[in-house]
Amino acid sequence: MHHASKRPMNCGGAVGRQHVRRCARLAVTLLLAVPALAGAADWYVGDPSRPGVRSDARAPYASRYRPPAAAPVLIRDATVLTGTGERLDDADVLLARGKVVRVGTDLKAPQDAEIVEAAGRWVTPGLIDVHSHLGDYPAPAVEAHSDGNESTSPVTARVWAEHSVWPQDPQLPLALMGGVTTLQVLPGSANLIGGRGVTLKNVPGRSVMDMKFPGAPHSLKMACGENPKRVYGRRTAAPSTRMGNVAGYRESWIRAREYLEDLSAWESGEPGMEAPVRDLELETLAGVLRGEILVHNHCYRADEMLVMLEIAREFGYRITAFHHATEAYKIADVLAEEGVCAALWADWWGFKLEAFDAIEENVALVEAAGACAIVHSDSPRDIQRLNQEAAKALMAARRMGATLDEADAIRWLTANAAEALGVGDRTGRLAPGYMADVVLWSGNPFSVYSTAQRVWIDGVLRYSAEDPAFRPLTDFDVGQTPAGRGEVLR
Amino acid sequence: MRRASWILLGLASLAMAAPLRAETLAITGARIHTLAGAGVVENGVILVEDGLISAVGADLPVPAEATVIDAAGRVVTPGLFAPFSSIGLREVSGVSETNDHLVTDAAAGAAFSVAAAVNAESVLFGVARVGGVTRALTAPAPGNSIFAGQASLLRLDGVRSPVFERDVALVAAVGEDGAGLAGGSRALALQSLTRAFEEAALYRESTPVRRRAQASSLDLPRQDLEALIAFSGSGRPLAVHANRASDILGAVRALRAMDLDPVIIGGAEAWRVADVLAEAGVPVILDPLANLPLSYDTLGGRLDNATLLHEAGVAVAFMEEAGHSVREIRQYAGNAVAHGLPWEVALAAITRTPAQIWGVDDRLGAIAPGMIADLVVWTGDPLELSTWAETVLVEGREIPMDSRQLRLRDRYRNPRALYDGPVDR
Repeated sequence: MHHASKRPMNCGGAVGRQHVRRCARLAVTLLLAVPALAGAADWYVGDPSRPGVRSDARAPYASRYRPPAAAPVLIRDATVLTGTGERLDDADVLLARGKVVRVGTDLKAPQDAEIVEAAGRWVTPGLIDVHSHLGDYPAPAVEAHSDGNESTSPVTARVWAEHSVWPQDPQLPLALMGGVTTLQVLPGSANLIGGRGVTLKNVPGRSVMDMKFPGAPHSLKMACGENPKRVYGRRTAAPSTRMGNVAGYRESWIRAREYLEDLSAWESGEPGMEAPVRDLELETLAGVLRGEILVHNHCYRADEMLVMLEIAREFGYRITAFHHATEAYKIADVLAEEGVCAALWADWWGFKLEAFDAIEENVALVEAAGACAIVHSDSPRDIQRLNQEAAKALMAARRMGATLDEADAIRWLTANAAEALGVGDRTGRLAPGYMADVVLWSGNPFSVYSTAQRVWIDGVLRYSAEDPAFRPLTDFDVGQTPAGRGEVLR
Repeated sequence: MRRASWILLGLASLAMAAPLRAETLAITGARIHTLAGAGVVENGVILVEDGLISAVGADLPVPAEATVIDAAGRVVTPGLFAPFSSIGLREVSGVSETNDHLVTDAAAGAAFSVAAAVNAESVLFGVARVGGVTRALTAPAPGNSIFAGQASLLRLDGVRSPVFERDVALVAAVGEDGAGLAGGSRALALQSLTRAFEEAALYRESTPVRRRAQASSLDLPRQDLEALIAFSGSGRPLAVHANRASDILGAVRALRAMDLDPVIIGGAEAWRVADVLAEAGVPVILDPLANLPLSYDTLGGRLDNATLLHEAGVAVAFMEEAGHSVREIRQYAGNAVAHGLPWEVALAAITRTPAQIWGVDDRLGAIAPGMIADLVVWTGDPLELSTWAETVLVEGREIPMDSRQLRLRDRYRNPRALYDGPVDR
């Protein structure tokens, strides 16, 4: 990356074949000088797990998270919600070598296993929040900490949310105490295209790399509606209207398409084509067009979501999930058909006009239409109680006569969320071979009185309500917050 | 003209007809949390006459003419009381035209009363009452002065005049917010609080002639001085936004020294000074979920704040400040229980205690003969997330379980049919 700054200005905004060819000589020089960059195209995904492509470990900013070794754990006689829609009573869960080994009854404990008697308690997969700004907007929420919106230009696909993550954010352990084992940290919604999001394991680290979910795809944060047009409209800059928003997305995708064409031509060995000059913004957008980076689109109104789907069709990319989507219930049938998830609050509403039609049954109606429903937080407060948010959505479903139960509702926080992050084959379910990301609850997790008792991430005990040694403290906590001053909290 | 007045008279008598008929209503078979002398009544009966509770007990005969609400297997509580909000003053928070909760472009602090701004047609009321909330305090937010203005009490059943008790409290801010309004330092905010009442006293004792001369040398505008004078002798509480322990202490000491009755709003670090609050008899209206160190004033936030305060003898009530989500106060109460607060105290924190704090507990907040019949029939434990309100009564009348949100839900049960077919919209 270091060579990018040496690039002459006239090659800085490489946008098309003509331009690329003009700058080709320079690029060749640079590639020769830095042989490792010959496979620069692989950098689009950062840490792809695809065969034949640069391995995760060698990609820049790759995950350095390696779960420490831990003894096997056998949780016995619990009520287990598997995340696959099943509820098992008096069931055992065996964890070993960082993975779920088995879920069943009367499982045999390996000799060195820790036995957890869990009669009367419940076990679920670790909760996953697909929409968080922890680390980017840490506590205290002072200007010195405000690192979530690069609101200096409406398209900032070049920025990566992970490069703002402060691992000492005291909100992170609080989320862990709420059972959150995986979270996606996204840029804010000031911009049309805010930048790349990152999926983290909720483990302590000295850098964001220590927390990155190994092999998770990158994401792209996009935002509809009021926020971008308000932020830029106030400066008498574009966009100031919803139509300005749409023009902004389309112009970006046109440039991305051209860049991708150049890139593909070069990769396929087309005569005369050289590698396009590196461009952080276009690399990210081209990654989306190649399906390697997943689009997470902040969008409230039904009509705007339908327009966003049309833009995705025009330029040939997929939207993985609409976030907030307070009007998802108005287009639940379309979301089901298109295979787009809706990441939702249980009952937030009214804080702005585009959130005025939110209803408590939003999650239930999306679920009923057969679409992928997710309950998210976007909040350092609610991330501590995602289970309660899902419980309220479940209540609203039952109030309208739907026959959903806890086994269905846990999917909104686990399997469905994992799918939207592209890690649904690794976490979000209690099934053999899945990461041992597990929460032991004091009771039914959908009860207001239940709390997380223990939380394991990759089989490692990271939180225990029974043992203060397993209440992680950040540097910020030390000597400042009640927990960091040794107060006994109830 | 004559015809018009006859029509008006007719309408008036129609409207009068209902209250004139002595209607008796009975709720039967429920587990009743009275929050009064009768405690918890199992399989009980509540009799309501003319909007008031006439009797409550286990073995009450139900009059033959009574309209009966069968609540067997259900739980009945008083209507929930949101102790501090801006409901009715802010329809859409992000649309400033619909916001009347703060004054930014005029020199009005203590004199500002929100009562005349309350939107009787607010969509928020229906959402709140379907969630079991029947009463709320609606309060101004600090805009130009450490004094935000005067708060009023609302009934949420959709009547033309929802304010049932106006200007029940004066709202002020110290701490981080107060510092910004007072000129930069929280110390100045506390000093301003004292000085304002001193100026008001000085002004009150002056002759009309001298007042005119004084007015130019005093910090506060005349209308605020007059509002403070009226407030000083009224015995009404002064609601003070304060989170940091030192600001809570400072405000309580300053106000008690002037014989005023503070109520702490926020109180994230109130647990640190619980003994002082208990001794001074100062209640705290708090958000039990506020455990985040989101500002340097709330570094001491914790989920068992209410528990520690209660154990020290401080009265606590639970608020959802914005107004759109006042229905969440029962979730807040449930969380307080999960972190050590006795269940009955948590229920009181969203019913009886708010009524006590705002001085209307002779009418509201409990189920006992003579009390206003604001009642909610719940499908189960009212603090539990799986529970919903099945029937809501305000002043003895069953309100329709209807809100704009529920109408949108029903409109979109089949979205395709709504737009594709010739259906009834």
